[in-house]
Amino acid sequence: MEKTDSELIAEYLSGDEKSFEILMNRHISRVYNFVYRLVPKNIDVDDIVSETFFKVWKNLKKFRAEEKFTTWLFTIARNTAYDTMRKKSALTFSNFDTDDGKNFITDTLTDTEPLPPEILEQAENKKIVENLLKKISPDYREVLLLHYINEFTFEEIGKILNKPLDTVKSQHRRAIIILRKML
Amino acid sequence: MNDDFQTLFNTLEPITPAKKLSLRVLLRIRRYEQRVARVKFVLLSTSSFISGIALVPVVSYAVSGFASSGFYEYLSLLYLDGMAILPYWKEFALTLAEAVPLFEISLVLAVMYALLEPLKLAIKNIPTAFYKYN
Repeated sequence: MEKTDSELIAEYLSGDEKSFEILMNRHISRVYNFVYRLVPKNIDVDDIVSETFFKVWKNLKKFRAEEKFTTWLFTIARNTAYDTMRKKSALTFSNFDTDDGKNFITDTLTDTEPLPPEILEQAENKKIVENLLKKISPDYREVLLLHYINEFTFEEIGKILNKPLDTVKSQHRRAIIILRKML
Repeated sequence: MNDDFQTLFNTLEPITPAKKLSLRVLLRIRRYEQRVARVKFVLLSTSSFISGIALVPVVSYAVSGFASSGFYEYLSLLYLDGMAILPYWKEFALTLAEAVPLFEISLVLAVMYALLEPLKLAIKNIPTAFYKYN
């Protein structure tokens, strides 16, 4: 039976060096994909992923077993990505937001309509979704990536982004409205 | 609605990171451990060396302590006329124990501990500190 993340961490902390390697290999692909789609092309994804796992290793003793490891891991990955983007001044801001980060138009809109089938068919062309994601601000993109690709709940996303649940839900709603407009 | 978006995002092709990426992380961790081990080695060796130097005056102080306490004189009685002491061995043992310079012995033991413990840890750090990574 496959060991849980917490079991691997406990084993590593009690001296089994191999456990960290197993833990890292289990999650490196997910973290890589998340960072790859979060940061602009001019930023080295490998550096961010490497830095993320180095920070994870360095702070492994601080990890609390009652927490979900992936939530903690993605928090570190996201913060590392933002730190790198800040350093390289590559952070882009949404054209849809006001200075205080609110968007009254999208906030008041409801979004219940399904996507037209032709859009889904069109989306078969993988490049389309990839390009759409690049056009959305990182704030919205990260919510979409965490929710739809990494299957985190909104509560977990709130922990990762250090934002209240309502803010996450609102960002998700705005993100899909923006995405719909682009489609 | 969300299912539609799920379908949309499922079309994204997963990107496989380079195999060497995890090796790169492990190598970075090993190099960091090596740096820490080297710093520890230098600090522990220095501490051990200083204790080694301090041991010389401490031992000579202990030797003079033994001399002034009369311990050697009592001890020499044992060799000179051991049989004469035998009937009073309890009193003699007590006198001998009282003459032991405890402070000087404790000081020597403390300095020896301060020499050997960091030395042990410094030796323990050698494999990590001086391992050659390609």
